[in-house]
Amino acid sequence: MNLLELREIRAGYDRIDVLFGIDLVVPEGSVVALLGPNGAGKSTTLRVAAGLHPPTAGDVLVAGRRVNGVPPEELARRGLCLIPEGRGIFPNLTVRENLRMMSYTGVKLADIEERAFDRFPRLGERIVQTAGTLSGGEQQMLAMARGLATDPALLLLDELSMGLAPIIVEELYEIVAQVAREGVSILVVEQFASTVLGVADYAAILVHGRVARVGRPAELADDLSEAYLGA
Amino acid sequence: MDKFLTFTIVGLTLAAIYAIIASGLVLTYTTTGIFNFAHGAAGMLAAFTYWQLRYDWGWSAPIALFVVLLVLAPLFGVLLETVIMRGLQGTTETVKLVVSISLLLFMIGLAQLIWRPGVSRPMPSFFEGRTPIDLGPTTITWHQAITIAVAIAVAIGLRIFLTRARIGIAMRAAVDDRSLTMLNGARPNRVSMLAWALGTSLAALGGILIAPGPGLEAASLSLLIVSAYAAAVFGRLRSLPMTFVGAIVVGLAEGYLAGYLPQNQYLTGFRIASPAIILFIVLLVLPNPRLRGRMTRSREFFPMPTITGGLGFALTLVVAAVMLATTLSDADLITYGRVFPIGIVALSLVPLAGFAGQISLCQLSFAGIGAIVMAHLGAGGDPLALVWAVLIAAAVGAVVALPALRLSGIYLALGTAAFAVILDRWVFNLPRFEVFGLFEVNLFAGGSVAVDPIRAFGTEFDDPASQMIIAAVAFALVALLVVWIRRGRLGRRLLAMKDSEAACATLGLNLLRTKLTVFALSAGIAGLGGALYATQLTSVQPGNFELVQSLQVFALTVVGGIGAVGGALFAAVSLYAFLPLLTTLWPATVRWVGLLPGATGIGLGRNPNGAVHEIRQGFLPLLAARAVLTVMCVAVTGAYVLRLLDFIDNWTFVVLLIACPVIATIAAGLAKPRAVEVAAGHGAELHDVPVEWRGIDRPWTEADAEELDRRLGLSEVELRGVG
Ligand SMILES: Nc1ncnc2c1ncn2[C@@H]1O[C@H](COP(=O)(O)OP(=O)(O)OP(=O)(O)O)[C@@H](O)[C@H]1O
Ligand SMILES: [Mg+2]
Repeated sequence: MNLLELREIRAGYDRIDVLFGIDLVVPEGSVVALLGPNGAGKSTTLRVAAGLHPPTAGDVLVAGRRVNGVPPEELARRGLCLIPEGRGIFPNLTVRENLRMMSYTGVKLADIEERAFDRFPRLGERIVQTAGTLSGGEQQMLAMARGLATDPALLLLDELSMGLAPIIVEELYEIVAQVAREGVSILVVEQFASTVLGVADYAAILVHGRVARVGRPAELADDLSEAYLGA
Repeated sequence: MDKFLTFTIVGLTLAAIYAIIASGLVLTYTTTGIFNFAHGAAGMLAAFTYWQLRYDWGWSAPIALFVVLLVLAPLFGVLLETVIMRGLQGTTETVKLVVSISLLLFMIGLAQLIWRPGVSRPMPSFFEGRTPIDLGPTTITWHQAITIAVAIAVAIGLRIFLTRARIGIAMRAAVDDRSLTMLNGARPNRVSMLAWALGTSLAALGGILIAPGPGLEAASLSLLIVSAYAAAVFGRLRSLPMTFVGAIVVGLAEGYLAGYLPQNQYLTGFRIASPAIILFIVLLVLPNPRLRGRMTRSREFFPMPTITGGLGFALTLVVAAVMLATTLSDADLITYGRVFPIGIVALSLVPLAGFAGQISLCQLSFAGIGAIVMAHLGAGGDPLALVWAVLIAAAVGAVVALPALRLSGIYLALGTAAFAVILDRWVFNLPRFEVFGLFEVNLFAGGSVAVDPIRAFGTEFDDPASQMIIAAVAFALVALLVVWIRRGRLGRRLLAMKDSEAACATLGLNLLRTKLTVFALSAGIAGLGGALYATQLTSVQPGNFELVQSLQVFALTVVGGIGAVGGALFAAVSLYAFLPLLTTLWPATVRWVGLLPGATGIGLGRNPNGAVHEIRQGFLPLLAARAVLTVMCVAVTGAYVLRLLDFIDNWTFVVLLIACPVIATIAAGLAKPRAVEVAAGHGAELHDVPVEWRGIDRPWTEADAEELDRRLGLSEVELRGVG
């Protein structure tokens, strides 16, 4: 079964059209990488999938069910988790309060904390620190911890690597790979193509709001440089 | 020492009340991004309701408190959130401001409708009869003690709620990132609803505690809470602990002012205005708050006015004014004549708030300065006094602009509102005084001053008809000036400054000079309006130039469309022609009309371009259908002649005057096939899409490419050469 399916999605902001008919599937238990140059519409695609941005046309299906118009908080409660671009945290709340916010999905705070600190022991040492004062890597860990703590079925990741040192990026993607092995389906947007292609089962290249190619990572390596360089 | 302690207690009591009110304000502002100007008015309504239940109907205090604080106030807050505030997300700051200002006007109107003003409604403080608690050197009344205790309880309760309760944490989270709270599965609408319920309850609590002091009077009670706004600004509208600190500073300052300020006729008003003065100082002293807060990108689009359009507008107005001046009775002229001077004051907002995006809530105060100048320098009817009125008001405007340079958005609105209160509660009420023995100043002579009619060309314009025509001509000229500014270099600079101050500064635009210019210009225009208003009124007093009037004019100009001169006319006509007309036709409405300006403003929200834009769209076919237009002009002239010859009475004439354009518009609509051709023929160039939206709003064509090259000063050959 496909955990996420986008059919002919069109979307835009005010007067600007951004997506021109996106078709994309995330099969259950697989990792799909969404690549493309800046401004291609990758983040917009994820926002549409998470219910944050209404598409102007097309269908969004989660686990086979059409979910157009379902509010994002409902999707979150049903096990879809988006970690947005930038740091997906609340900078003025403490680490614990950030985790507590996740309990709206119905998971107990104790369970959330246990899972989070298991995976990221560094966070456990800083539970009362204000999240905005964490280092960039720690903030991204917190964002991931918050996302993973509820045991989501579908994880949408938007540029985990933004502004981070390559070594931390590697570390974060090791965790992504581990999460994938646990059976979570993942749609991941990334600029560090080489890193993410090592983790992904499939990859799609988005150019100017259209899916230019889909395939196995190995098949796409050549097309990638073309998409980025616009040759 | 005893005195010091006594006034410390007075100050701390005030501080407690301000803290309670301000924390409610901060709560709603942070969770929903709307600064609720009507927050104080909610407290005012609660105080009135409590009085009603407790003293008019004789309920016991605990039950009355329970009903007001825990039932009615939260329900009212939820109602505000769901019906009004939720729709405001994503609108510009100006729209939000106008809606909450209108809400303030509406609530004052509502209170005056339910509780007729002028009736004495004693509101005793809590445990009034009981002997005060003895603290050794001084005493503290039960009301004071309870107030302080309640504030401490609120502080502790809020702290626990916001850090321990999950929904409290969600409120703080919503401040950081609203959409992220959704991704976490929290329901942001519930969070906002709770914030408004809680905020309104806190306002109600503050209102009930403060009311026994100043007494129940709707307008002054709503604005008295200005001090609480100062406390909230202390916390940058965000931090609750800093807001409490701010409340203590403001409360103590007011307490000591009450105790130690010498009693004399110059300082009575100062004491009344002291909350506004403190707010003004806090705004100026705090580190620049301008760069904080997210900018919402607005999609307001004010069409470029054409010179012919402006001339047509001006001419139509003057002709209409002449027709009315020669047909209406003197009494009617005095009533409806105010449209034009107030219209000029509203026009002063167009360059300032419309083009430059600088919100000002003190335009009537500038008008008041113009009126004072007219009264004194225009004694005997010297027309030069009009020039002085403009110049002096402009000078004051430039002085106000200096502190305003640091402020923007909501802070600028608060600063100008504070300035208006300082003028109308203190400065305008000053008795005659001397400045260093050099000259004496006698603003409103401590009451009211008479204004002589203008005398020029050997005639004295002392009849309402000629005064109305003068004001209409002045309005038309100022409207043309505004159109000319919009089309010129200054207009472009102002618009650029509104879009991005930072970008303008990096482009080398001198922000300081541009802002000073537009403030002075706007204040000068308002001063002219005030001067003409004064000659019409023949006697003016501070009450003619109060903050509440500025708020009405501002709100309705925005509703009309603050980017165009039509918006100003809309405001003046609705306030000074439509409302009086309504009460003349149906005297029973007289108590209800107070609600209308507020209700109109609340209804804004949807159309940031203003009502006038839509009205104009409606009239477009008429302007294109020349034949119908001619017939209409003939019909109107005919009706006018019939009226002059006394064949028809005033009412018939006015009805005809309104009916003609309406019928003509419908006729033009029916004759559409032809009209559309005309419009397509020559309208295409006039109403075309701006260059930067071509290819987005409509398909890109070869011709656009050529025009773009032309605008950029590139020729095709050069382009090819470079490429
Ligand atoms: N809130 C917004 N308002 C208007 N336009 C927007 C908004 N957000 C994004 N856009 C525009 O939509 C287009 C696609 O943006 P999107 O963020 O989806 O790109 P992206 O592929 O994620 O790029 P990046 O790799 O830089 O993150 C861009 O041209 C962008 O300018
Ligand atoms: Mg992106």
